[in-house]
Amino acid sequence: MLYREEKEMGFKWIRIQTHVHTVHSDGGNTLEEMACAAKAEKVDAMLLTDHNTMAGGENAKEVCEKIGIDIIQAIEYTTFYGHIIALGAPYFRWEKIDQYNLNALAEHVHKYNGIIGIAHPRQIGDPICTGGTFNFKAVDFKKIDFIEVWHGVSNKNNEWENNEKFWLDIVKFGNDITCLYGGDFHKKEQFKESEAFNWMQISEEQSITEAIKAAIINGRVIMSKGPCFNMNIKSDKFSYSMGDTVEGEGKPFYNVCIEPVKNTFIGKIKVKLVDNIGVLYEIDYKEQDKLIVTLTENIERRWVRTEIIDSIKNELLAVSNPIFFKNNRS
Amino acid sequence: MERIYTDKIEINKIDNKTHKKIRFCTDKSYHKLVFEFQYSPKLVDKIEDIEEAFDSNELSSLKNSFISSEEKINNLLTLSLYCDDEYIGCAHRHNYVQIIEISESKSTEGFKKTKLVASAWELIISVHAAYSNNIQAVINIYAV
Repeated sequence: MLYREEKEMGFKWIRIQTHVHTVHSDGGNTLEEMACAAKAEKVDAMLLTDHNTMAGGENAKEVCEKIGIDIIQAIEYTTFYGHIIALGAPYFRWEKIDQYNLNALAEHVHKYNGIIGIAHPRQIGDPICTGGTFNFKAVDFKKIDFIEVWHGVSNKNNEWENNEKFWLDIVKFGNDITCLYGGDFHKKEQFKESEAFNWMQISEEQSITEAIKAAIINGRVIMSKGPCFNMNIKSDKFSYSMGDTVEGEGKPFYNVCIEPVKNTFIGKIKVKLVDNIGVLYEIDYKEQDKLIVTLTENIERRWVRTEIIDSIKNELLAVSNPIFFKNNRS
Repeated sequence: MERIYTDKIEINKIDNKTHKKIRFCTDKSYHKLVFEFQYSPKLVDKIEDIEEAFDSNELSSLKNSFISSEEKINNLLTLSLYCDDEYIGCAHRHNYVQIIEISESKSTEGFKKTKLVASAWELIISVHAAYSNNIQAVINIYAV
């Protein structure tokens, strides 16, 4: 289902689940059953990420056509030192991956113009869930395209906060890695049980696989339980969207524009603009078409992002990927 | 059904996070190969093994709850298959008894359909978790 289109840019927002298992590994349902469940929750596309196998993709095209949801073949390399999601590259002998050579897998994936990400870096690990925690060493994070910050059907034991800390610790060193939600669904019921999904802004000019890869690489992703919005910084010359880097314009101030996508802001909502230092701006949403926040220049600012909060439950409903600031990087 | 290969491997704690490779060849075409893979024990039930599993990592604070409660930790082995260096697949599941069928028309979930001609096969037993000593893993391969 299509939502608001960015007609002048040729982009559209889609709902996507990026971490799904089937009976081809330890999931409880077939690909068709999972696709049906996804479709029922208005999901437009999903990545098939069975553990250490791509055999599930053999009938993916048939399921796509029958159910009407895009299924993109991916894989979750379930190694001893962490779980790594990859798409767009042939299988890599994961038994050759040791604790110190994750970079080799990343190089293999990128050689084929694929993308690679870290699943649930701070999920509980050994000995309860073997390899569940990210424990690779000597990782070049410039070779990593995304990290699951929101993960699983629900946030257990503050895992989402711990994943976010992991991501922020990498971002502060100048690695612009996209964050996204990985449901890690193993049963069809989990599509409904989890309230979360990703909004991804994809190009209408590309094939679905290429468009999703580009959206993830470029950070055009919102981790969400419903709200969708555009976030831009516009200057005289350029327009920056989420995932972009503002480079050295040397301006004394910037205007951040947040535009809710129609019918996705439901109930009593608060909009927060946040940077790496703290909260910059907070306002109750009153069905404005646009919110414009003027930020003064701050050399300590490395990124800015939008958070959407349920005012009644004080619950985080959506988080955008950041707009980064290059001049201010250490 | 003809048994064309059998092997038994003992896995101990020292083998944790390693891979065991088994190679065998088929010298003719078959309609189907059946891989019977099982290992035991699945559950880590000796208290000293549970203590040791938790002591060496960040979750040591959970050790006592696993010793005293119904919750257990598991040994976990998985089987991956290669045929003439081509990846056929993996059964990354928690069942400690697995029957895997490979044929041109249909293969067990996790594995690609594969035409079975004279080939060099490689089985990789991946030791994701060995928290017990003397884990017995058995592999039998049958051809039809």
